[in-house]
Amino acid sequence: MTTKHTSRQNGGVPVSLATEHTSPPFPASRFLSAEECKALIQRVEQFAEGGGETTVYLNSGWIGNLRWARNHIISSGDLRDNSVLVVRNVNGASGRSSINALDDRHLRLVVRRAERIEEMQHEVAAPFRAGPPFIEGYLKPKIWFDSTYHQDAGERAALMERLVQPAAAAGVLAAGYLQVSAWGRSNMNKDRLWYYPYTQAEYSVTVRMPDGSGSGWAGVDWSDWDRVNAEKLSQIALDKCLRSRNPVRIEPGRYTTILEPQAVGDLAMRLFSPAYLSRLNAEIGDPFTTNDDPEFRKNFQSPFQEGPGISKLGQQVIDPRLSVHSDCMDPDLGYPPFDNNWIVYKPVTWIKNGVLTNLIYGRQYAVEKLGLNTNGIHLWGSGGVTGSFHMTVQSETASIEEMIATTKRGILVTRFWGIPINAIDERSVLYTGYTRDGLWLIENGKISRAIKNFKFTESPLFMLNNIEQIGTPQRIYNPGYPIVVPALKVRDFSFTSLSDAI
Amino acid sequence: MVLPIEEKLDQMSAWVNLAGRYRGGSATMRATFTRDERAVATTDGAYFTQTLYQSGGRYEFGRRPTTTSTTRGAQNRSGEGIAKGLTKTGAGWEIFLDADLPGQLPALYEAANPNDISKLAKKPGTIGRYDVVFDAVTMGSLLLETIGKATQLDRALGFEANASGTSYLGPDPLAFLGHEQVAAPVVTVVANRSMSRGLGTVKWDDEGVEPDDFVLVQDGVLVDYQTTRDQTHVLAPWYAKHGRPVRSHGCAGADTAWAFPMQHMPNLVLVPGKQDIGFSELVAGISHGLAVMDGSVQTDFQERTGTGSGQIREIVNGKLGSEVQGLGFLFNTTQLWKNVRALGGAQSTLQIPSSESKGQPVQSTSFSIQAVPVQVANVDFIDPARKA
Repeated sequence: MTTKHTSRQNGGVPVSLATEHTSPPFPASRFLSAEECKALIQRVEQFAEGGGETTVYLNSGWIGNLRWARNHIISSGDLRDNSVLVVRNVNGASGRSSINALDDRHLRLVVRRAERIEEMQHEVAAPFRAGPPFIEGYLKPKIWFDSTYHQDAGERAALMERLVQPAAAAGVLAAGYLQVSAWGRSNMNKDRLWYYPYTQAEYSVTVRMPDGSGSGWAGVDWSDWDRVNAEKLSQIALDKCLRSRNPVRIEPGRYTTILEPQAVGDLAMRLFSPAYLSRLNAEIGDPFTTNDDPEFRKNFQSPFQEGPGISKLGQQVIDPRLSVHSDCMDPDLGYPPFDNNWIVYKPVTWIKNGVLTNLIYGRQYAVEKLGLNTNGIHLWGSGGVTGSFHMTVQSETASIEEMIATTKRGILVTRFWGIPINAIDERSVLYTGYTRDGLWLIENGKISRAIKNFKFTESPLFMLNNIEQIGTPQRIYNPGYPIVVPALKVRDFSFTSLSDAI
Repeated sequence: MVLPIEEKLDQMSAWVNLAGRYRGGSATMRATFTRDERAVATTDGAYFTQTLYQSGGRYEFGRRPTTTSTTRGAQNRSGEGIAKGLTKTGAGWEIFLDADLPGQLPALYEAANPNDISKLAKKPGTIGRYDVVFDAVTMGSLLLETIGKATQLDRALGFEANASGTSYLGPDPLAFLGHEQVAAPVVTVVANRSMSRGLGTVKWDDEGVEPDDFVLVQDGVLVDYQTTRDQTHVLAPWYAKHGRPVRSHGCAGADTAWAFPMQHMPNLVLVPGKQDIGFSELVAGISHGLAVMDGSVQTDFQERTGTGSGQIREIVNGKLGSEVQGLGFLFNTTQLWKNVRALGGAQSTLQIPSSESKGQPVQSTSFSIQAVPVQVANVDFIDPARKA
């Protein structure tokens, strides 16, 4: 189950590296340190044959986890692994191969394999080769927390016993998952070594009636385990389970709907996806666009497109009380400052007081279309932190209790589930999905009864333009892709059919 | 025999270049190969290694218009055709040889005809209740998303409650086994890990169990669940009643070496009907209805209700008519399965690659589904883009 590097000796000749890295405040025994990465790139360089350039992208990590169901532990893990991607570039042809064993024999093997694939590619004449990557400095967010790294398996088990106890005492069944992890992410070549260590923690729990007549859920993720209030979340899930028992049917239709932050995030994250936030995509139809893929042009529509070739930049797209930004330095977000491709994440405000102010673009767009010598607001094409955002509120906020108290007839939603990646209609970003783990009818300012789940058909743009009241933004559960959003009370939210699922 | 990647690439280049012999023709091709070497040792005494192969690819034939077309709507339109026989299976390079790509080219050239007016004839659909023929691909998705997921014992018992969901055939399996009518009597569903070229086919599962072939639904009645060693004791009273041994069906697996073995989907089989009929014969049995092709299905987290989409065509007097747009189907799982009227015969079986994600941390595994086209009465079609 555990794959661990077996050799750490520095077999390479000394190479002078313009090293920029942040050392973790610990002996990095569970994953590779910056020093070990430095030795690694030197060894890989040594194995390379046939000239050209060599780049190594590394994710090295440790995961400690505990999973339980029906109030009993079902698995407990301590996992370590390295993912090493070697890229060989020779005369414009490139080949890549990855491996997770770091001894000399395997490193030599992965370099040979990358070179073998490189040899199958066409070389590119010098004037037409892509230049070296445009390198900018990266930010230094605080995303390492000892509280996460130092939580061991014994502590997790003891904690689980405590967390499950109230559910067991109430005669109901808890299923939960707790994970802490620590990672070193690195981009390296003979000239440069980037290395950044970070931690992640997540907790989620579902509490169900033994006969399946009720279900409640709660969860969150943070870099810092100390910000995960597992006791409180467990209590919320238990409470929702007990209050959601024996739901009754009410007619589907449009309702004033109070969406808890998780529900807002579940739907809003579809709008703030890299594909929709792309400036190039919003300008599809521009005859001068650099995206020439006809299939893509034919099939893709952006909600941020005004007309052919024109985006909605500068226009009001959501409620003026809301703004949206992504910033790895934001202490309520916090994510690694670069991706595994020399791409740095810059702070960016997408929406300011409801007005669309930015869309992402890469270096080519920045240089050719905007005349800027910059890397752009580069999220596109990266796997790591795309879709991380913080929705802030520029107005009075209301608690969920206040929202309920001011609602004559409406619905309270815990969360959504099963929202497909693809919209039914891209221009209006129309999505479907189901409510899950706690849905209630509100009558005359009070929760009157639990109701059966709905399938909804609604657009996040509609949700963000029909707001009555706004809550205080909160971190939701979306591990690896931090999201902070407020609860919202929305007019005329569209529930289209009933489901008997509990 | 291991064929070097360079030789595979040369052969693929040759197949792609063949498309250039056709007027306006071009092709792109990709192929992926997986070799998964598994070594398993358990404290219960199992020790073994096995090697699992997967291959799949895509050959796309493109055709540009070669003359200035006078057909309305066809200007600047290009067409494409996708080669058959390259979907992912539990086999090696031989699937590419078996597919006979050169032999498929004339048909692909026709399929890619950009001026084929029948492809352009589309009309808006009318919502309502229809008798329907679902093709094998749509039935594969429906089978997986409903009965396939619901008969995973871990889901039924609540072990997936905090992840992929639970089951309408839970929480007490003994309350359902033997008498729950989950489908029409013509429906029988079997699971196995022995299907030829099946993506879920293994000699041993990741607990060291040699899987057996087992019936999940017999003549419309639920008779078993998918199991691992951990949970099979839950079904002991049911097995005892029928004089069957209490044993795991061998559904334990892990998607990588650093994942926990847990319950995963085996290969699934929608057992063909007894009559030797196929999609066209099923269509011929409907005077006014719809056909759904290449469809897919999504359900709620207990597989009780769901929606589906796909290429939808009218059926008029037993024949396929125009393609209709703007429709999807909405269903109650048990109701839909009970409304099955007829199934295609063995000749109409299609083997479809599929995968499922579950667990925490999430794992994804592959398996194959054998399905046949099916005729179903009274399916509700809605406008999926219509709000309340």
